[in-house]
Amino acid sequence: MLETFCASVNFKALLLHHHDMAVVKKFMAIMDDATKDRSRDPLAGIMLDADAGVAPSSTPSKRATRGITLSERALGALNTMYHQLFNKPMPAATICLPKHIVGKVSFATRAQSTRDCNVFFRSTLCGFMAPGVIQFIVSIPSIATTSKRDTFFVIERYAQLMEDGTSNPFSSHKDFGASLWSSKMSAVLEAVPVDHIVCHAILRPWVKDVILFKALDRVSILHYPHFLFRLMHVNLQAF
Amino acid sequence: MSRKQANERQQNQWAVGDDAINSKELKHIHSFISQTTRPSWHTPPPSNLGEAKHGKPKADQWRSCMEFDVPAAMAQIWDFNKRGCEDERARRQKKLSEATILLATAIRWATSYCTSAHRALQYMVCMVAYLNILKDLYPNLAWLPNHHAALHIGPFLLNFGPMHGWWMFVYERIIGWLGKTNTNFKIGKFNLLQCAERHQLTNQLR
Repeated sequence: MLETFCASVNFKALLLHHHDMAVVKKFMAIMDDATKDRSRDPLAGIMLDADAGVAPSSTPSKRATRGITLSERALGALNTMYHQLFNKPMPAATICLPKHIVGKVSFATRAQSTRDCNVFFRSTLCGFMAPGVIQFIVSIPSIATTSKRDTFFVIERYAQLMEDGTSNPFSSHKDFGASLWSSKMSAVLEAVPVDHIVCHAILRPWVKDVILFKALDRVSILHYPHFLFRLMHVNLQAF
Repeated sequence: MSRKQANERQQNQWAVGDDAINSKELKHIHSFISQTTRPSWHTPPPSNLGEAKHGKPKADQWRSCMEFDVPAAMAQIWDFNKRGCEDERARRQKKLSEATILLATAIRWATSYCTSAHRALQYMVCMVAYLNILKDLYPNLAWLPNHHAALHIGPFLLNFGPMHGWWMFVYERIIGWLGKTNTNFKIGKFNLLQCAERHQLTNQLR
């Protein structure tokens, strides 16, 4: 933050002193210098939509290119999704990756990291946000350009909690963003494009067979399908 | 405080700290923190939260505490559905848990990376509801400057945009940098402005 602040001050000073286009080049150099070290950037956690579709941001490691093979279920899910999107059979030249970086956020498979594999994503099967575990990250050659690759996530979704006796203290506080889900996984794997991944999830066991999830979305506030807008009367005069 | 004492106490006799969690509940919170699975970039709260040993928590640790751990732990430890709200202590704990969730929600709206009139309004709704519960729980509570300042954040979100652009952590960092600077305790030998100008010039000459 401090580096960004200093950079913007420098930029302002440059603009005051120069009136030619060369200033833009100097500005770029300053910004590049300021954003070299992004590890302490307070904006870490943002998913940049602009970067989301850029497959080459993920660097396939040595481990990725050898050893990881897709399961039959994952292959089936990928084929179905690919056919729905492009109306073509999926090409054979696929690469399995252990992780994929979107913006500054690293998403990893369950085999790679048990912490970075829990995500909230837009489920294509049930049509709403749901938590899931990334099982595979697959890079497929792009249809549009030969030089690019598209990245897809194969996710095992958590099942919805059946309406039973489990008390939910967060039901009246939807904006808090916590929700209870079953610890059981859905029967089918889901393959989704990278832009369907919304954010990481934080979770902990609640009661038996129930897990408490919260989406760590720093940009938008997620609203669940059962979201009810609760109006509260505000009395500012009291303060 | 025992259940009997809690039931006999008058409403206006309650003070901040009377509803403090006991050591057993604190241990539950510690196990809660250790059982939570969080992304690698998410700073966890100290594993021994609430003890003097961990020192003063950093702002990021406070944030992660309030973002998930503390509200969820309070709701889980004080399982109101199981216990019911039959006595005064349970009723107060339920209100306290609600107030914590409201505060966490207010922080969530306020520290979002984008803002709008709706977000600013939601922040104000949550913050006012939180303060109302506080006053209800502790009628003798005197408002502090922080309570007042919190109600200015809503208009600030509209006037200045997302909080990350104008919060004071930048200056906190500069204060920290100044605090770590070695000095000879002689005032006037080090000019901050000159230093900043030199830094700016160096950058321009690059």
